[in-house]
Amino acid sequence: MTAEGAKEYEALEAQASSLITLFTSKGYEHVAPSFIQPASLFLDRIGETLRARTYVFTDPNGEELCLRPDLTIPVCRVFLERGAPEGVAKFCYNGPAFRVQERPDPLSPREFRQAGIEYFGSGSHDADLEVLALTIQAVRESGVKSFTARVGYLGLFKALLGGLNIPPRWRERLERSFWRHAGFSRELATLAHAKVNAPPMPADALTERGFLNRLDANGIPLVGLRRPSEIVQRLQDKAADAKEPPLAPEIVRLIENYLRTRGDVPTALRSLEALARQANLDLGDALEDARALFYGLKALAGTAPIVFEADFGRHFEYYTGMVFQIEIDGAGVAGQIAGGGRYDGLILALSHGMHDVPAVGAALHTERLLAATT
Amino acid sequence: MDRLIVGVPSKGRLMEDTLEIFRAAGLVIEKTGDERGYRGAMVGVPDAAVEFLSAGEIARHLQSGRIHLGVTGEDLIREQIPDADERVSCLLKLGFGHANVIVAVPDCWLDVETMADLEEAGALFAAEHGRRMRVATKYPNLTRRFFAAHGVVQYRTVESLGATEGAPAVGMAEAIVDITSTGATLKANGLRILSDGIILRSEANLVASKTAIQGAKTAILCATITEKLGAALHPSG
Repeated sequence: MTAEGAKEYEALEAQASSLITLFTSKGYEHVAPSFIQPASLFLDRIGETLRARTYVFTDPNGEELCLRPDLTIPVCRVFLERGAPEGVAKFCYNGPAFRVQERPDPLSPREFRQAGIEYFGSGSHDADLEVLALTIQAVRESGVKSFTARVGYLGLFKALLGGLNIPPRWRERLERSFWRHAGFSRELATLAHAKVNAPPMPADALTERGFLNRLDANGIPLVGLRRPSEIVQRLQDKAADAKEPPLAPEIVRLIENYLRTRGDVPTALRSLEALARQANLDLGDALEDARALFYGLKALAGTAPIVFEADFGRHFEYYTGMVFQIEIDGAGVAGQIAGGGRYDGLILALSHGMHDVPAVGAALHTERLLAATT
Repeated sequence: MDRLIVGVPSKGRLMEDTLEIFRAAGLVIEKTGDERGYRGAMVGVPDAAVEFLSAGEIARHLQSGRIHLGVTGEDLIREQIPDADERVSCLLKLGFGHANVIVAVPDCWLDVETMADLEEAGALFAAEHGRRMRVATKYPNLTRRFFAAHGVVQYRTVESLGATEGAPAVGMAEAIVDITSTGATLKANGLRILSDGIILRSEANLVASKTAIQGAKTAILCATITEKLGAALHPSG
C-alpha cells in the first residue's frame, strides 16, 4: 500500500478484526510478533529468492536486522520463546509484512498485510484439515462467494519415490528438484539417460588417505568447512552412480503420470489407486495415509470446491506435507487470496535441532481479500 | 538546456582507456575547472557535458536517467539494474575492461566440477552442517539469477566488498562469485572455477539510458558520438 485512504484503512481494520475474532473463537491465541526481526535467522532459513525481496539493514549498534517479509517465522519464534511447550499450541495473527518489489503495484505492494494461523504440535491430517477448513471459513465469512481450493500432498510424492526401484541418492535428487518444474524434467531426463555416469575421479581418491595424498601431490590446500570425509563420501557416491543403469522408462512414465494427476477429490483418489495398481506398486502405509487425508477433503468439499493436483506445492520450499491455495477463479495473481500447508522441519531448524515439533499454518492476503469483496 | 550528459569513469585503467578511445574517435575530453574536479567537456562539442563518476555510479545514473550516455562494465549493468534491458541499451562493446564473472569453489572439492555438483554438495552441506553453504560476492543479483537457473538453492550469499577470493581460506564462505581476469589470484587462494561456472564475459560498454529525457538535439548528438566511436573501434567497417 502506498498511501491508504482512511476509508480503506478502516475497512482493512474491520476485516482484520473479524478474522481475528473468528480465529480466537476457534481457540487460536492472538499474538503480535515484532516487525523488526534478526536478519541471520531469516537469511539462513528463507532461501535467496525471498531474501532478495527482504529489507535488510544494519542498525547503529551493528546489529543485522530485517523487516519481516512473512509472519510464519516470527510466530515460530514466539512459540520457541515460550520454550516450545508440550502438546498443541495454536496462534493467530494480523499485521504488516514487507517485501522489495521490482515494480510495486497495488497487487504486489512493498508493504502488505497478512492475517493467518499457525498450529504447532500435531502431525496429523486432522490438524491439516482443521487449518484448511478454518481458512475456507475465513474466506467465506469475508464475503467471497466463488473460489476453489487447490490442494497438493508432498507426502504422497515422497512415498511414490520410496516405492520405486531407484537408487536412494537419485530419489533425493528428484525430491530436491520437485520445487522447480523445468529443473525436475531436466533431472528426470538426466537420470533416464544415465548422463550421471562420467566417472569423476580415478580410484585413488576414493579413500580418505588416497584423497589427502592426491591433494598433497598436486599442491592443493584444504580450504573451507567441508571435511575430507564429506568430499570422499560424495566421490564414492558418484563412482557408484556411474555403475547404475539409467532409470527404466516405465519408472519415468509412472512419475510423469503421477505428477499429471488432478481432479476433484474422488476422481483424483481413484486415479492414484489405479496408478499404483497398474504399476504393481506397493506404497505400503502411504496410500492408507493419503486416503485418510482424501476422506477428510471429501467431507470438506461439501463446503467448498476442492481440486487435488499432484504437482501442486512447488515454489514453496519449506513445506513438507499437505499444501493448499485458495483462489478466486480466473482472477490470476489477484485471485490468490490465501495459502498454507504443513512445514514440519522449520521449528527443528529454527531451534538448532532442539525441538522437533510438527506444524501447519495458513495465511490470508488481506488486501486481495478486501478487493475481492468490495 | 538541452545538453547531452556523458558519464566517464573517474579513475584508473578504465578512465585512461575510455579517454583514449574517445580521443581516437576525434572526441577529446578535457576536465573543466580544477584538475581534481569531476566535470569535463568535449572539445568542439559544446552541447555535451562530461561527468567523471565511479563505474557503479554510472550504471545507477543510467538507470535513473540522470545521464544519457556512459561507459561502464556490463557486469555492473547486469548486477545493479534488475530490468536492465528495459532501462538501458548497450550500444558498443569497447574492447577493454575485460573481466569474467565466475563461480569458484575450493580446489580440494574434487567432487565438485559443475553447477549440478554444487547443487548437490550444497544440499548435503546444509544437512551435515545445519546451515547453508555461503557464497561470498559483491554480485548478489547475478549470483541469484545464475544459481536459480542451475537449480542451486541451498546456499546464502554473504556480502564481500574486497578480497573476495580470500573468503573461503579464512572461513568466511565456502564458495565465491567474483570477477577474474587472470585466474592467478584464484589459484593462490586454493580456488578453482567450475567448468560451467562462467556467469558473464564482461567488458566496458558504451551504454545509453532509455529513461533519460531526450530532446531532438541530444538524440542526434548521441547517435553521432556512437557512430564515431564505432568507426574508431572498427576502422575498416
